[in-house]
Amino acid sequence: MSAGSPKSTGDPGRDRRRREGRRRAARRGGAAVAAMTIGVLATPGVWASTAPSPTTPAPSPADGGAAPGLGGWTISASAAPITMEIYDPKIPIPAQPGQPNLEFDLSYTRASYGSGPTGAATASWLWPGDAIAFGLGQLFNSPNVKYPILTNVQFPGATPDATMQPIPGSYMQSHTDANGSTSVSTFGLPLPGTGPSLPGSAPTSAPSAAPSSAPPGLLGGLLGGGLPPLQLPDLGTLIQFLTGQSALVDIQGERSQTSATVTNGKAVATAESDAGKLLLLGGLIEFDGLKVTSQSTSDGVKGTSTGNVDYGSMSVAGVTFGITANGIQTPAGLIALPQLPDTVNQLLAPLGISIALPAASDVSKDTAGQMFSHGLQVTIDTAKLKAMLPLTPVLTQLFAQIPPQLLAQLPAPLSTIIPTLPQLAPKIVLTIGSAKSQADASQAIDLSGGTTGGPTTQPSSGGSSSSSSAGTSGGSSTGGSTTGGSDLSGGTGGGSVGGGSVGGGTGGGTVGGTTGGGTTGGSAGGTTGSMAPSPPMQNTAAKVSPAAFGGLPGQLMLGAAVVACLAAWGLKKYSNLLFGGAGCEAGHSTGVPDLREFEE
Amino acid sequence: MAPILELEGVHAAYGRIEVLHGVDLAVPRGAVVALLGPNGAGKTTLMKVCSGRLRATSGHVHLGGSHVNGAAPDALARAGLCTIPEGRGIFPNLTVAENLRLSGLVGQASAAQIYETAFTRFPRLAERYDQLAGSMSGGEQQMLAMARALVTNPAVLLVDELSMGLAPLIVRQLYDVLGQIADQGVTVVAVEQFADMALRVADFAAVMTHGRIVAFDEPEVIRRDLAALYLGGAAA
Repeated sequence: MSAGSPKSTGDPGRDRRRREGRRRAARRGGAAVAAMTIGVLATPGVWASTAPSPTTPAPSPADGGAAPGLGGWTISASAAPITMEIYDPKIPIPAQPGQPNLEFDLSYTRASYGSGPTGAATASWLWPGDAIAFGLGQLFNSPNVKYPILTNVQFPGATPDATMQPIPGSYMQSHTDANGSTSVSTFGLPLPGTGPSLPGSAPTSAPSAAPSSAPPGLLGGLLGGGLPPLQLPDLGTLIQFLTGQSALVDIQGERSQTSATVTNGKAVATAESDAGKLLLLGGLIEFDGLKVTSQSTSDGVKGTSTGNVDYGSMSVAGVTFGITANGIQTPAGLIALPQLPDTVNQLLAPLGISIALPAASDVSKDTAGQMFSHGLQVTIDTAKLKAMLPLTPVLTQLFAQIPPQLLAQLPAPLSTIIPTLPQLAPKIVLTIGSAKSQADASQAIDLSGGTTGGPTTQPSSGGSSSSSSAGTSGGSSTGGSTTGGSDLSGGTGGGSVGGGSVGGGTGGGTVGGTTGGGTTGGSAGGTTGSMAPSPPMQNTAAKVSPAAFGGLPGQLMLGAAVVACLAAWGLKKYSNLLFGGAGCEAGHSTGVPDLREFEE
Repeated sequence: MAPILELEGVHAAYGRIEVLHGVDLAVPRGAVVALLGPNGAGKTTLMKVCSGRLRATSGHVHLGGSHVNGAAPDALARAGLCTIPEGRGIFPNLTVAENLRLSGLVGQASAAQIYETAFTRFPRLAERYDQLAGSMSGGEQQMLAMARALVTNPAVLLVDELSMGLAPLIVRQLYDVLGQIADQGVTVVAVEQFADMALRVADFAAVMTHGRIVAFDEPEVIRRDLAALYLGGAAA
């Protein structure tokens, strides 16, 4: 008798065992199906949206959650009144080609804030870059070596605030929590909002000590046309300046502040750097206050940025002028800020010095707002400069900007490298005032599933240029030309294809296929200027019928799971048949029979 | 009688060291076969191959008329092939009752049925119901090992060195029980070094030396030629 025959064996015990065996197999099969079903139901995206769960209101920024109308955001800002980049391969710090081997920022701050929320704020009066600030222990193979001039906090983290006053007259503060991040660093200037404004911070600086006539001499050449002819000092005069008592660059007080927050449904990054009095080339050029600002915002639809470089006043060779970002105020009227004449750089070229005027670059795109602003950039090739004049004292003065008390606080390897830098022949790039801000956000998306049979039009509205609708015979409107928006409601109705509006400004924000009864979904994009805020994210799981079973993706996943189970079972049972296996020369069948039923 | 367990040219090895060099053996259904041989002959290795714990490198293992090379030990156990390994293989830190219930997991018998089966055959175990198995005497542990095998309702019972570490009197009692089990139709293959005890209950006996079966005959014949078989391989 063959094993597994359904016929009765005539032995009651044996029959009972066989029945039990069949029941066990049935139970095992049922358990497998149950486990598979549970697994599928627990699969996110398949059934999770239909599983009843307590409705969780969207948290507000105040309680550490998402901002209304924004589903996610990434915000960062950084600022420094002076950045010193040192390029010298002799410095034993690896660097990518074109990147500085060593970098110092004075009164550096940065802040970041991301949805989650997560945040970080860093302030350092003497910022050596991330590699040294956070990796000093690794660089010197000692975890106890930490960069001391730093306040750094993170959210979530142990503490939201950190402050430090490394030397008298300086102050660093970092703060971050669920609502955003801010950081400030100052030296020689009052904290923002606690002292008199810098000259450069005035909204529009009036000309100070306005001259009665156009300035002669160097300034005329510096400012370009409309002014008296250029009269440049000779090289000897310049060298006299450079070898004099003053340094190439002397900043008398600086500060910066950055913030990354979500305010009124917008992601906002703000960076600002202030330099008090700035003396260049031993006082030949003097700026009384230099303020560089950068602000980027994103509402999830469009990113925008603003930036500015303000000088309270500038004096060249003793003649003072008021300068704004729009130009220079003279008694004759506003003169657009010109490019620095080539002749000035030509004059400075033998000394290895070049000066680039301020710039503010708006690189905003789509939903991301980005602005990079920087003030003057002075590039010093000390190899050339050393050939022309005894540079070491000048460089020593330059690095003497770092207070000795501060230098003493640095770890031994770093504190010994810095004083030796004047002995090297590096290229130094000084950036006077820099502020960077980036903000990107996406709108909250309604993840509710589609409805069946209902009208499909999602009341979306776009600004005059923030909507794009596409429709074929159904939807007919065409909105603006910009991208953005998140209304992805798609509809197929009445034989028409389309109707799914892509864009739709800030409204709606639904994702879900809908099958409508002929209603087209072509929303009226570009017809109104209102920007309807997206509704806060909420659980609409109860609206989805279990019969829908997670929609087509759910059915596909369930089907795939069933197929996989069947394939696994088949492979296990028939693998020898399919793929061979150890054959039996005696012609016996392969498998494990029930020995209790074996008969001769 | 048709063999319920049959080996044809079975080779087996531990790594590169081959232990079985072409074993041929046929065990009739319901018979008691004593597998004798000196230390290192390959008897335990042969048990491992039969129970699926060691895969034959070549040759065929037939069980119940089917080719079972490579079958998993648990599948063979569920099919009715039960092994009492050398050293008994009980759980010393569990009680007698727990050891028995664990063996009952193979089948669907209730705890009461398990206890009834075990304690009917070995009344001593009922007295040790709550005693840790490891604290019992060697003979009682061997009884527990045999009881565990019985509750699985085996069709083929492989017993490896039943007498190991036991007094002759206890060994005699255990072999008596083994004979009673065989009388119920269970095929028994008993690996044993003490030939006299095994031959007393065996229907057939096989002698292994150097990884081969050198003799397979009735117990009386084997008993007569045993010394020569042990010492010189095949009998004259």
